[in-house]
Formats: sequence, structure tokens, C-alpha cells
Amino acid sequence: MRGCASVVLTQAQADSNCLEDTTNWTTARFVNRPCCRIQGYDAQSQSDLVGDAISPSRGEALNTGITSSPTGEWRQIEVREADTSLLPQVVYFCTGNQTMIVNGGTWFLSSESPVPVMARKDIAARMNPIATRWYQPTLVGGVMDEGAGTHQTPLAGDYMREVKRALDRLAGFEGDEESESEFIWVVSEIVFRYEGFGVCEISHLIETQKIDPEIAEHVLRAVGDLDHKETHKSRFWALTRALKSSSSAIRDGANVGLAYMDDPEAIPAIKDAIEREQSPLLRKLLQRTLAQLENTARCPVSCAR
Amino acid sequence: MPRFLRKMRKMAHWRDADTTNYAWLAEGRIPADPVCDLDTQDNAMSVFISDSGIRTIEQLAAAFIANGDSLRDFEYVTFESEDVADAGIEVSDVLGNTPDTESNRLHRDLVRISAQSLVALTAATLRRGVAATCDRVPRKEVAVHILRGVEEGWLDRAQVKPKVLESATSDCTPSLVPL
Repeated sequence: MRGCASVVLTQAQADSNCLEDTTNWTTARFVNRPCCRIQGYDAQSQSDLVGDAISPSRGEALNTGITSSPTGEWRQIEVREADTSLLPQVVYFCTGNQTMIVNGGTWFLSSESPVPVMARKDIAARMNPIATRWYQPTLVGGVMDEGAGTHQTPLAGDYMREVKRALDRLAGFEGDEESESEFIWVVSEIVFRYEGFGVCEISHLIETQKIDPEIAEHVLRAVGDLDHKETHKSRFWALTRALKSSSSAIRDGANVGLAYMDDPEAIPAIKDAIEREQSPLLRKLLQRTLAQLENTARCPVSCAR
Repeated sequence: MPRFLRKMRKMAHWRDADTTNYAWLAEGRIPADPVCDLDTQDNAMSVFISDSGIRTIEQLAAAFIANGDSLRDFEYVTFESEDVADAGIEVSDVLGNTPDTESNRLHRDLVRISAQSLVALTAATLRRGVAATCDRVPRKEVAVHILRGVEEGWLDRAQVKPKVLESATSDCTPSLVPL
């Protein structure tokens, strides 16, 4: 299966409240539309796992399908999401005060309150910079297993408020030519500073139509135009996702953004978009991008940005 | 009868101009956005002949952008000569101001444009369909043609804005278009 990844969901100590009541995971309510969907299999409970990755800043919930929480053991979960390769670097799952984070295929359990959670050190080492900045790695529980450590999340609330302020600024733009450079600067700031999380939040903002489609079009162009390897995967994910929008402005913004990224990996998504597209003009514009990407695929070295 | 090319201000003004997108528009009316996109100066509008066989649209785009502030997509709309004539608009031979002599020769001014003739030209263009009249040359393609133009000498390097040339170079490696 494409994109399969074995990951470890940490298990709390017996005296920790981290996973004390995992029934919350299944009873938590959904508020907003999900950012993306995860499917997996919990080997321990031998049950399928389905989750919706959503925005923690709005306190939405997760339904993982996890129904039991044996204590004192590591828990192995196999992710079977078909599009794992397209997931943002950081995706968040929330249930009330608990947050689970998918970081490049690695799952962490966390909380907005400083509840200790554990992750193996080798996994922690693979956390991207945004996660390591947010999560102050503090070894409070000692070594639990080979390479095991404990992490706290005391900065989560402030961090989310910061991101929200930046996004509010973005939503307030008029999209005129005069404010274009400042606009691009704000988009850059969100992506450079908040990385995968910032991109995921931008995507959420656009999907939930909390931003005018014409502004969203410019945002998507700017997102594709950034030269930032760390968020390439996240931005690619957001742009290919936006190709499915019901708004022609958003679809075209995603089309241009993907042309700016110039990543031939987008060819299947562009082809699918051409198949779906009802507007003859947009279909033509998508074909322009397809031709460019196919040309880049033919000469990846000479055509690379 | 030549076809004229006009750079758009915003693709969004044309993209959704299909009248089926506007339930409130009365029969035979057209939306205002595409009309406003065709901004005039002294009741005239700058265009290029797009089907001359001398310069491709991509080369015209390169010449136009090479002279601008930044490397960007070239989004344009085309007008048929007969629509221009039917709208009562005159065509004047005025040399262009790009780093390409041939593109400059293909430049024209549409002159003596009234508000009514501008609306008539827009309506005629929309009747032909936005898919047939509007298009975009992606930025990377513009960059490739700017570098080729400089290499092959049809773009005067001295007139190409350094910032644009720098951006074009970073968009395409020299192995594709050696400088």
C-alpha cells in the first residue's frame, strides 16, 4: 500500500493522565471540516483507525477509533493513509485538552496543558524545526525504554494565538496591487515561521472560506512561489488540495502556485484537475501548467529552479 | 485581418466573465469587470499584433515583461480586427517600447475609444468565449524566452531590466539557455 508507515504512539506512565481516558478520543465532537483524513490500523486493539486532522487553534476534535489504552507499553500503529506522502509535515489532532501530532509520518501525543507525553528519542530527532521549537524537550520521566524521553508542550497556547494573529492579518488584505509586497511578506512570514502548521492553517482558512476567494488566489500563488525546502511537502499538499476547490479563483491560484513550484510530482494532480474542470478557460490554463511540468520532468536538471 | 493582443490587468476580471456565472445579468448584458480591465489612457489602448508569424505570443510576452518591474506570468486577451472595426475603434501604427525591435514593430495603439465602443469590443470578445480569447504564458515560459531572446540577440540585453534578467536566470539554469 502506498505511503504506509509504521509509527509509534507513545504510552504514558501509569501515574500520568496523558492517556488515562482515551474514550475522549472517540466521543469528542467535530466542529469544523477536517484538514485531511488519516486511516490506519491499531495492531493492539486490532481495530481500524480513522482520524481527521484539524486545526488545534479552534479546539476541534478527533475520532481516531482508539478505544483502549493499556498502560506502561509502547503502542504500535500502522498508518494506512493512501496519501501519506502528501500530508503536511505537521498535522494536529485535538480532543479537548489533548492533541496528537503527526509530524512527517511520526505520531506524537501531546496536550495544550503541560501534560508529559513520551516519544522515542530517535523519533524526536526526526521532528522538524517547528516541532522542536514548540515542544521543549524536557526529560521529566527518565529513560523508559531504549531511547525513550518525555516532552512537554507549555508553549502551545501562545503559539496558536500568534498564528491566528498572522492569519487574521492575511484575511484582512484587500488584494490590490499596492499591498501586494506586504501581502507576500505576511504569507512568507506564516510559512517560514510556522512551517507545516502555518501552511495547514492557511489551507484550513481557505477551505472554510474564512478568506475571500480572490485573496485566497493570491495566497496560493505566493505559497507556491516561496523558496523554502522545509515546507515543500506541506505547500505541495495545500496546493494540490486547493485544486479541488469549488471556487474557480482558488483552483486557478493553486494552478499557478503549482506552476511556480515546478515540481513534476504535481502532474497526476494537474491531470485529475483537467479531467474535473468544467471551465474551458481554466482547463486551458491547467494544460499550460501540465506542459511546463512535463517539460521539467523531461529535463529535471536543466529546468530546475 | 490581424488579431490583437492586450495584456490583462487581472485574469480574475475575465476568468469568471462567462455570463452564466451571473444570474443577475439581464439578457444581452455583460459584466463590468472585463470592461474595467481594459483601462485606456487618452482614450487609447496599447496592443500587439499576435498572429504576425514574426513573433510568437511567448516572444511578445518575453519582450513585454523584460521591460517591466518584475518577472511574472503574462496574462492576455486577444481581439479580432473585425470586432475592433465593428466597435468603431481605429488602429494607429505606433512603435512599441520593448527591448525587441520586431515586437515594437508589431505594436499598435487602438485609438479614439469611447466608453460605448469599449463595451462593444468587450462584448464581442466575450461572445467568442473567454477560453478562445484569454490565456496565460506561465512565468517560467516567459523566463525561458527572455533568456533565449538575450542569447539569440533579438532582445537587447541593455534594455532588459536587470532584476527581471536575474529572476529569469534563477528560474532557468544556464544549461537550458546558455548566456
